[in-house]
Amino acid sequence: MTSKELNKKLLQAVPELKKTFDEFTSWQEGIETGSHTVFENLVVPFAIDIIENEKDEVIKRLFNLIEGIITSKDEYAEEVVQLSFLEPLKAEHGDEYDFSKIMSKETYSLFNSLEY
Amino acid sequence: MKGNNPLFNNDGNKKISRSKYSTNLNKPIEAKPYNNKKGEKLLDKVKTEEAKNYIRQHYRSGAKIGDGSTAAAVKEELKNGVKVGGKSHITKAKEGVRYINNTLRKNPNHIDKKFFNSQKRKLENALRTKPIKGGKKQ
Repeated sequence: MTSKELNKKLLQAVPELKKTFDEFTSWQEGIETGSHTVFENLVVPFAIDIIENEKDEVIKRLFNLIEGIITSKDEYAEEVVQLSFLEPLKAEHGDEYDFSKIMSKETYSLFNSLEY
Repeated sequence: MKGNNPLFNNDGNKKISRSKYSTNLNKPIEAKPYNNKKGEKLLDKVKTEEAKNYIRQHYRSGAKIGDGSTAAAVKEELKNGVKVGGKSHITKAKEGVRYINNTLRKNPNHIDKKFFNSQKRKLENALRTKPIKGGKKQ
Protein backbone atom coordinates (compact mmCIF):
# COMPACT_ATOMS: atom_id res chain seq x y z
CA MET A 1 0.00 0.00 0.00
CA THR A 2 1.25 3.51 -0.77
CA SER A 3 0.88 6.63 1.39
CA LYS A 4 -1.76 7.85 -1.03
CA GLU A 5 -3.78 4.65 -0.72
CA LEU A 6 -3.48 4.56 3.07
CA ASN A 7 -4.41 8.23 3.41
CA LYS A 8 -7.45 7.68 1.18
CA LYS A 9 -8.45 4.66 3.24
CA LEU A 10 -8.13 6.73 6.40
CA LEU A 11 -10.31 9.53 5.03
CA GLN A 12 -12.92 7.06 3.77
CA ALA A 13 -13.16 5.47 7.20
CA VAL A 14 -12.98 8.76 9.12
CA PRO A 15 -14.23 11.62 6.93
CA GLU A 16 -14.27 13.83 10.05
CA LEU A 17 -10.50 14.19 9.49
CA LYS A 18 -10.83 15.59 5.96
CA LYS A 19 -10.73 19.30 6.82
CA THR A 20 -7.74 18.98 9.16
CA PHE A 21 -6.04 16.66 6.69
CA ASP A 22 -6.48 19.12 3.83
CA GLU A 23 -5.14 22.01 5.91
CA PHE A 24 -2.19 20.04 7.26
CA THR A 25 -1.15 18.50 3.94
CA SER A 26 -1.71 21.65 1.87
CA TRP A 27 1.89 22.74 2.54
CA GLN A 28 3.22 19.22 2.20
CA GLU A 29 2.35 16.72 -0.51
CA GLY A 30 -1.44 16.64 -0.36
CA ILE A 31 -2.91 13.15 -0.47
CA GLU A 32 0.60 11.75 -1.06
CA THR A 33 1.96 13.12 2.23
CA GLY A 34 3.74 10.34 4.08
CA SER A 35 1.32 8.40 6.24
CA HIS A 36 3.78 8.30 9.15
CA THR A 37 3.59 12.09 9.19
CA VAL A 38 -0.20 12.04 8.87
CA PHE A 39 -0.78 9.49 11.63
CA GLU A 40 1.64 11.10 14.12
CA ASN A 41 0.48 14.66 13.56
CA LEU A 42 -3.22 14.20 12.89
CA VAL A 43 -4.56 10.80 13.79
CA VAL A 44 -3.01 10.49 17.27
CA PRO A 45 -4.42 13.83 18.57
CA PHE A 46 -7.71 13.09 16.78
CA ALA A 47 -7.92 9.70 18.51
CA ILE A 48 -7.32 11.28 21.92
CA ASP A 49 -9.95 13.91 21.16
CA ILE A 50 -12.66 11.39 20.25
CA ILE A 51 -11.76 9.20 23.22
CA GLU A 52 -11.90 12.17 25.56
CA ASN A 53 -15.23 13.25 24.09
CA GLU A 54 -16.63 9.72 23.95
CA LYS A 55 -17.46 9.85 20.26
CA ASP A 56 -18.08 6.13 20.33
CA GLU A 57 -19.23 5.70 16.77
CA VAL A 58 -16.14 7.47 15.41
CA ILE A 59 -13.90 5.57 17.83
CA LYS A 60 -15.36 2.34 16.49
CA ARG A 61 -14.76 3.32 12.87
CA LEU A 62 -11.18 4.46 13.52
CA PHE A 63 -10.20 1.41 15.51
CA ASN A 64 -11.92 -0.94 13.07
CA LEU A 65 -9.68 0.58 10.41
CA ILE A 66 -6.63 0.05 12.63
CA GLU A 67 -7.62 -3.57 13.32
CA GLY A 68 -8.09 -4.14 9.60
CA ILE A 69 -4.64 -2.77 8.85
CA ILE A 70 -2.98 -4.87 11.54
CA THR A 71 -4.51 -8.03 10.14
CA SER A 72 -3.97 -7.00 6.50
CA LYS A 73 -0.34 -8.13 6.23
CA ASP A 74 0.44 -4.94 4.33
CA GLU A 75 3.99 -4.07 5.35
CA TYR A 76 3.84 -0.29 4.96
CA ALA A 77 0.40 0.14 6.53
CA GLU A 78 1.40 -2.05 9.47
CA GLU A 79 4.60 -0.04 9.98
CA VAL A 80 2.63 3.20 10.01
CA VAL A 81 0.07 1.91 12.49
CA GLN A 82 2.66 0.43 14.83
CA LEU A 83 5.38 3.11 14.72
CA SER A 84 3.31 6.24 14.21
CA PHE A 85 -0.01 5.48 15.88
CA LEU A 86 0.16 2.78 18.54
CA GLU A 87 3.66 3.70 19.79
CA PRO A 88 2.84 7.37 20.45
CA LEU A 89 -0.49 6.39 22.01
CA LYS A 90 1.32 4.05 24.37
CA ALA A 91 4.34 6.30 25.02
CA GLU A 92 2.34 9.44 25.74
CA HIS A 93 -1.18 8.33 26.68
CA GLY A 94 -0.83 4.72 27.81
CA ASP A 95 -1.63 5.54 31.45
CA GLU A 96 -4.51 7.93 30.77
CA TYR A 97 -7.04 5.70 29.07
CA ASP A 98 -8.15 2.10 29.31
CA PHE A 99 -7.38 1.10 25.76
CA SER A 100 -8.75 -2.41 26.33
CA LYS A 101 -12.21 -0.79 26.11
CA ILE A 102 -11.31 1.00 22.90
CA MET A 103 -9.17 -1.28 20.78
CA SER A 104 -10.14 -4.48 19.04
CA LYS A 105 -8.48 -7.75 20.01
CA GLU A 106 -5.45 -7.83 17.70
CA THR A 107 -4.80 -4.11 18.09
CA TYR A 108 -4.82 -4.30 21.89
CA SER A 109 -2.61 -7.36 21.85
CA LEU A 110 -0.05 -5.57 19.67
CA PHE A 111 -0.39 -2.37 21.76
CA ASN A 112 0.40 -4.33 24.92
CA SER A 113 3.39 -6.07 23.42
CA LEU A 114 5.02 -2.98 21.94
CA GLU A 115 8.70 -2.49 22.73
CA TYR A 116 10.76 0.20 21.11
CA MET B 1 1.38 20.84 22.02
CA LYS B 2 -1.18 23.23 23.37
CA GLY B 3 -3.69 24.79 21.02
CA ASN B 4 -5.29 21.81 19.24
CA ASN B 5 -4.11 19.48 21.93
CA PRO B 6 -7.05 17.61 23.43
CA LEU B 7 -5.26 17.50 26.79
CA PHE B 8 -5.56 21.25 27.23
CA ASN B 9 -8.41 23.73 27.45
CA ASN B 10 -8.33 26.89 25.36
CA ASP B 11 -6.87 28.74 28.36
CA GLY B 12 -3.89 26.37 28.33
CA ASN B 13 -4.87 24.58 31.54
CA LYS B 14 -5.01 20.81 31.69
CA LYS B 15 -8.45 19.35 31.16
CA ILE B 16 -10.19 17.31 33.78
CA SER B 17 -11.17 14.11 32.08
CA ARG B 18 -14.82 13.08 32.20
CA SER B 19 -14.33 10.36 29.65
CA LYS B 20 -15.61 6.93 30.53
CA TYR B 21 -12.37 5.63 29.00
CA SER B 22 -10.15 7.57 31.39
CA THR B 23 -8.19 5.66 34.00
CA ASN B 24 -8.18 8.76 36.25
CA LEU B 25 -11.72 10.03 36.03
CA ASN B 26 -12.24 13.52 37.46
CA LYS B 27 -8.54 14.24 37.79
CA PRO B 28 -6.58 16.56 35.48
CA ILE B 29 -5.26 14.62 32.53
CA GLU B 30 -1.59 13.93 33.05
CA ALA B 31 0.36 12.84 30.02
CA LYS B 32 3.06 10.28 30.78
CA PRO B 33 6.32 12.06 31.63
CA TYR B 34 8.53 12.33 28.57
CA ASN B 35 11.45 9.98 28.99
CA ASN B 36 14.20 10.31 26.40
CA LYS B 37 17.45 11.91 27.55
CA LYS B 38 18.58 13.12 24.13
CA GLY B 39 15.07 14.30 23.33
CA GLU B 40 14.90 16.22 26.61
CA LYS B 41 18.13 18.06 25.77
CA LEU B 42 16.83 18.91 22.31
CA LEU B 43 13.49 20.10 23.68
CA ASP B 44 15.38 22.67 25.75
CA LYS B 45 17.08 24.04 22.64
CA VAL B 46 14.17 24.49 20.23
CA LYS B 47 11.61 27.27 20.23
CA THR B 48 8.65 26.14 18.12
CA GLU B 49 5.89 23.60 18.68
CA GLU B 50 6.69 22.18 15.23
CA ALA B 51 10.19 21.29 16.38
CA LYS B 52 8.97 20.00 19.74
CA ASN B 53 6.47 17.74 18.01
CA TYR B 54 9.20 16.50 15.70
CA ILE B 55 11.35 15.61 18.73
CA ARG B 56 8.54 13.69 20.41
CA GLN B 57 7.96 11.78 17.19
CA HIS B 58 11.58 10.99 16.37
CA TYR B 59 12.93 10.64 19.92
CA ARG B 60 10.18 8.44 21.28
CA SER B 61 9.66 8.51 25.02
CA GLY B 62 11.04 5.28 26.46
CA ALA B 63 12.98 4.32 23.32
CA LYS B 64 16.05 2.33 24.26
CA ILE B 65 18.18 1.85 21.13
CA GLY B 66 21.14 4.21 20.82
CA ASP B 67 20.01 7.73 21.64
CA GLY B 68 16.38 6.65 21.30
CA SER B 69 15.90 8.25 17.91
CA THR B 70 14.42 7.09 14.62
CA ALA B 71 17.91 7.54 13.15
CA ALA B 72 19.37 5.18 15.78
CA ALA B 73 16.72 2.58 14.95
CA VAL B 74 17.57 2.89 11.24
CA LYS B 75 21.30 2.51 11.97
CA GLU B 76 20.63 -0.59 14.05
CA GLU B 77 18.51 -2.03 11.27
CA LEU B 78 20.96 -1.34 8.46
CA LYS B 79 24.11 -2.14 10.42
CA ASN B 80 23.02 -5.25 12.30
CA GLY B 81 19.89 -6.32 10.46
CA VAL B 82 17.74 -5.90 13.59
CA LYS B 83 14.36 -4.22 13.16
CA VAL B 84 13.69 -2.30 16.35
CA GLY B 85 10.30 -3.35 17.74
CA GLY B 86 10.01 -5.79 14.84
CA LYS B 87 9.25 -3.08 12.27
CA SER B 88 11.44 -1.25 9.79
CA HIS B 89 12.10 2.42 10.57
CA ILE B 90 13.53 3.20 7.12
CA THR B 91 10.35 4.57 5.56
CA LYS B 92 9.57 6.57 8.68
CA ALA B 93 13.05 8.14 8.44
CA LYS B 94 12.59 8.95 4.74
CA GLU B 95 9.22 10.53 5.49
CA GLY B 96 10.89 12.50 8.29
CA VAL B 97 13.31 13.97 5.74
CA ARG B 98 10.38 14.88 3.47
CA TYR B 99 8.55 16.49 6.39
CA ILE B 100 11.61 18.62 7.19
CA ASN B 101 12.05 19.62 3.54
CA ASN B 102 8.39 20.65 3.35
CA THR B 103 8.58 22.51 6.66
CA LEU B 104 11.59 24.53 5.54
CA ARG B 105 10.13 25.11 2.09
CA LYS B 106 7.01 26.53 3.71
CA ASN B 107 9.07 28.67 6.04
CA PRO B 108 12.63 29.21 4.76
CA ASN B 109 13.42 31.43 7.75
CA HIS B 110 12.07 28.99 10.31
CA ILE B 111 13.27 29.89 13.78
CA ASP B 112 14.37 26.26 14.31
CA LYS B 113 15.91 25.92 10.85
CA LYS B 114 19.32 24.95 12.27
CA PHE B 115 17.73 22.19 14.35
CA PHE B 116 15.73 20.85 11.41
CA ASN B 117 18.74 20.86 9.11
CA SER B 118 20.79 18.98 11.67
CA GLN B 119 18.00 16.41 12.11
CA LYS B 120 17.74 16.01 8.36
CA ARG B 121 21.48 15.28 8.12
CA LYS B 122 21.17 12.83 10.98
CA LEU B 123 18.40 10.89 9.22
CA GLU B 124 20.19 10.97 5.87
CA ASN B 125 23.43 9.73 7.45
CA ALA B 126 21.56 6.92 9.19
CA LEU B 127 19.95 5.91 5.90
CA ARG B 128 23.46 5.55 4.39
CA THR B 129 24.58 3.07 7.08
CA LYS B 130 26.37 0.04 5.68
CA PRO B 131 25.77 -3.45 7.09
CA ILE B 132 28.50 -5.07 9.17
CA LYS B 133 29.70 -8.50 8.18
CA GLY B 134 27.73 -11.21 9.93
CA GLY B 135 24.87 -8.90 10.88
CA LYS B 136 21.74 -10.62 12.14
CA LYS B 137 19.31 -11.50 9.37
CA GLN B 138 15.57 -11.08 9.84
